[in-house]
Amino acid sequence: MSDAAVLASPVPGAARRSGATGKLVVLGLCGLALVAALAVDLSTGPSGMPLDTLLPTLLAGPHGADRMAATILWQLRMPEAAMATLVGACLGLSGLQMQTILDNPLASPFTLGFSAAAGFGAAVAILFELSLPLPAIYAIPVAAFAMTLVAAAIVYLIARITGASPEVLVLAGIAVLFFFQSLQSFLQYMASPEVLQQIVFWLFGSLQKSTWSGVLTVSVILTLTLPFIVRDCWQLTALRLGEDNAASLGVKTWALRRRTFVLTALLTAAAVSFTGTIGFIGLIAPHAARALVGEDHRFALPMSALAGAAMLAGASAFGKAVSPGGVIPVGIVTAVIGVPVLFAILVLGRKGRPA
Amino acid sequence: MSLEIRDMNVTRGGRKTLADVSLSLSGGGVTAVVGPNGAGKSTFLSALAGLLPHDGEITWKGAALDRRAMAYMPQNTDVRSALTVLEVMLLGRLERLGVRVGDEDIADAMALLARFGLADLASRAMPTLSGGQRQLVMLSQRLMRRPEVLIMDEPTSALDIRHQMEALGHVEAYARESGALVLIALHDINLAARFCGQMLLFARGRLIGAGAHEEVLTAATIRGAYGVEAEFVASPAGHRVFIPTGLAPAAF
Repeated sequence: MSDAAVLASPVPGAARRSGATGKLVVLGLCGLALVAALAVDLSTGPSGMPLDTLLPTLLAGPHGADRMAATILWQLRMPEAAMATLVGACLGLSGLQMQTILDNPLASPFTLGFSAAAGFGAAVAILFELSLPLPAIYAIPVAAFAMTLVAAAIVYLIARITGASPEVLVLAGIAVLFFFQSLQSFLQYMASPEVLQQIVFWLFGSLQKSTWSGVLTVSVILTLTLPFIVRDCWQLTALRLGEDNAASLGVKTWALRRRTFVLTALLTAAAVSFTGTIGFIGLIAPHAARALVGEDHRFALPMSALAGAAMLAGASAFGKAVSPGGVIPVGIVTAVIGVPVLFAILVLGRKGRPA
Repeated sequence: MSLEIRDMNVTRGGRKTLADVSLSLSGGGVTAVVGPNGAGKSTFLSALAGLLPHDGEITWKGAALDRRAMAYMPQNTDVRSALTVLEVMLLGRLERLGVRVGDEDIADAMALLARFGLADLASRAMPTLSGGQRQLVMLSQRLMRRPEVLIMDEPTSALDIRHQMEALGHVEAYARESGALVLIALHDINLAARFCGQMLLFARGRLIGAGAHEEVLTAATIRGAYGVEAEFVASPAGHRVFIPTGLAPAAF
């Protein structure tokens, strides 16, 4: 009965070769990058705010002595910066989960039609703004959120009926994507020029709509999903071995896909409802994360969240720096600076693994 | 320690792909599962592993076979993602992995890798390995589970002769030392006879022979199962060697 004999032959240096320390350092560096991006973002704006005033104003709190600076920082810039961090993290997390469960490096939270649905929901709310019982600032996110969940439910039902293979999920998602895109185009076609402009602006994706109540909502959803994400991180890593291997190790792949799918729907809905469609982050943050810390989802998930947050905060700062008037929607900037970042990461990450 | 299977039937897409398999096997050795393509070997193994719906009763040591006491290596194990070899090994212990990985699990993984001559590859990404090395990693991963029942579907198909001998040698030693029951589907009949005390011969979705290889594999059963004429000769060292000599007239 000594299976220990098979396992316990002495090995030199068998101790910690998992490289965990190195990965934690990379995570820490990315955290620092996020902090730096946030500092630049908070100190940039139409009225400026040098870094040496930023810290005292931050520490003084929302009711600090310098009323002007406190208001600018706590009522205008902080909600935007907090929203950038949260939305970036949500998109990074859901992007990596989506790429893992669909086994597809091109997948993003938007592959399954979530963004198109959110856009349609927002367009409906904008179009019928006056006849809605809620003020627009609440009605648009609520409509976008609800419609995202509707899209998720449709994809889920199709997958439920036909079997949740990655191919079926992607196909159903793309069908839903085109469906909601058409509805959204129809609304745009019907809308008056003023309403059309509002819809298009929403679709660009912007942090300027950020409010503390929005920040609170997104952070509650993120916090509620985190325990489930943490619980499944090894199962998701096992899924990277491929369907058959994962199943043979005891992973119930269909149940795992179903759970993760619901989580990504919630995270994506939370992210896009308050900011509009900033899809690119969800596609490239996971690639950056895998290139930097590998496939172990214990590290890749937080890395993807941090990378998403840092990219969005950086894009926001960059957008404000380029046009201090501050109206370039962050969704436009994200792709412009995100692509070079992605290429840099892919080239650097490739050095380590000649594949 | 014995595995009892009674009246196992598998139906897929309205077609019976495995019919009325009943057998009894004891632990501590390796049993080969042989038979022509489409005979039902993989169906039998994946049903036994609990991954295919089936009828019938399977018991291990008198109780229902618990998946946690078992490891299964499917036919296609190739990994396309950039997981490192050590990460793949750790996933063999999926049920007990937490946010922090235990030193014992890492030490066990390194010990197994060393045993299979793969220790230097521990931090390499899977796609940088050769096909044979990847298959060896996946085989060692299954041993990480310390299974009581180990089921493998052509686990040596990508290996050269030396690595086949080594890998099967390690698996056989594991079975002997731990008392585990090992079932391996193999195409190479001579290799199967060399390492496996028992043999199960499948053909057309049925179990047509079970026992020691001299009893199960004869010119007649080979002709019946594979449609191949064969001779069995004794080598100078006393091994019973299988030599295919030609195609049998189509009887089925």
